[in-house]
Amino acid sequence: MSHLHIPDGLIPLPWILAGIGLTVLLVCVALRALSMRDRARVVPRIATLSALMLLAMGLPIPVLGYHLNLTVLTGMIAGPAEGFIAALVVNLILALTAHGGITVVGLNALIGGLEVCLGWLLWRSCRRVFRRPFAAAAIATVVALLISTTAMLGIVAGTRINPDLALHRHSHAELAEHTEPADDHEHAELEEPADHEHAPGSDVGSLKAFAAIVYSAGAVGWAVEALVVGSIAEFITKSRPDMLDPGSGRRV
Amino acid sequence: MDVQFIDELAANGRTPLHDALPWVKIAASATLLAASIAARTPSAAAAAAAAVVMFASASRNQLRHAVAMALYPVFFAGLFALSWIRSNPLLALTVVIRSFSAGLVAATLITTTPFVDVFAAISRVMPAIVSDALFMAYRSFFILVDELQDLLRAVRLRGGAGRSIMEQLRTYGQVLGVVILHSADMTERMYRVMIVRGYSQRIQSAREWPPPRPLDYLLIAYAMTVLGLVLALR
Repeated sequence: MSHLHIPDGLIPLPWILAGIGLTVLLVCVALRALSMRDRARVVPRIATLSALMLLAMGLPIPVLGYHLNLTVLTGMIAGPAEGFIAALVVNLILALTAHGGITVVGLNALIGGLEVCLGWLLWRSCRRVFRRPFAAAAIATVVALLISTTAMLGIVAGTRINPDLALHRHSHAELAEHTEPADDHEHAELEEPADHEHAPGSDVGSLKAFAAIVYSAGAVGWAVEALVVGSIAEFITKSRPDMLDPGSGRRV
Repeated sequence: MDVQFIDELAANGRTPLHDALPWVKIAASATLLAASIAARTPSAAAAAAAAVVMFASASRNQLRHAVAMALYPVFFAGLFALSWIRSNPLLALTVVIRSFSAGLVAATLITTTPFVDVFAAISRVMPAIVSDALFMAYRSFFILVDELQDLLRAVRLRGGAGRSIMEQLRTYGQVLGVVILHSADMTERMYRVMIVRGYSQRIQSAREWPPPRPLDYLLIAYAMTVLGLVLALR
């Protein structure tokens, strides 16, 4: 996969609320940026791009367990304001179909929105450097997905959902109070990750293992997404170059 | 994710859950979701999961589809849990069970309630652009999915997408490119239709729901009891 959907039940409440709060803030910024445009034009464009993202997710890709996202392409076409709202719309629909958590819609929208914004920014930069739209789009896609995956890992690290921390705290406390600490872990209540004390060594070790899984599985997904987005960009540039014109003044 | 199939289940299903009022199902689902996430131990998470399965089983033979949908977040939760499995298997297990319960709640809600009803509830707390885009995205999806299927059929009739994965992905890219070009034309048509119909800042929902029946009260009471029990187990 190129893009991890954070499921419910993983992230502590303060982070869920922070994700929703930041998403609301960014939606307000996007709405302000779009306020001068004709809403009758903006709404269908956001809706169509959202539908395209959902459509791409259903495409039968010949790599096991993988689906496309087209978030980067959405950023390239629509820009950050419309693209961010499209990412939110898609995440709302995905959450309702159990593709990503309902409580973490905010965080998932932030990650999707980051891909959209990076797609817009990187496409504009890469298009100046690379002559072929395929190369520019593919590189923009890989870099955007790499950064968004790292951001997702940052959320995981930030929420301190590492159970090693809990184990260490429990074992220290039990060793101090009891003489038979070995089996008591099983009876200890599992605390919410956010409550855990910090133990940098174990935290880093566990995060490294998780990051290794995510980056190695993600790399295949980024390559698949880059190839498809590159092909789409090449096709559209030949047929309707105005749709992907990085110099277009209407994008915000 | 097959949105068409989900829509078919929600619109044409005939089960007790389909008969319940949409806002009641949304409220009951939110409460069960809270119960699923509030579980802190594997036993509490398993109890919440069992309660959610009971709730979902009211959708009768649709249960297996909802369970299949709920396995998707389990895959992602499993990925997160994989790095903890040796250090704290109990937390890893709890996280996986929680994600299953939460996924099943969402899947049950959406396979027994038409999207339009769910969106109508969501749109009350969303800015107009977001809620209108949500409605129109859903409608656009069904138009575009037909077109994509036609194009894929045409590709297959002409010998397939290619032998190597690279060729296939490039073909898929071009197919999606065609759909994107057509969607741009569709956007223009939608704009004209909205202007003709006098779109003024928001698509109005005229949905009115009847008063709750005993089944609706039962659902709410069940969800509240489950939440209470899970909180007591903490």
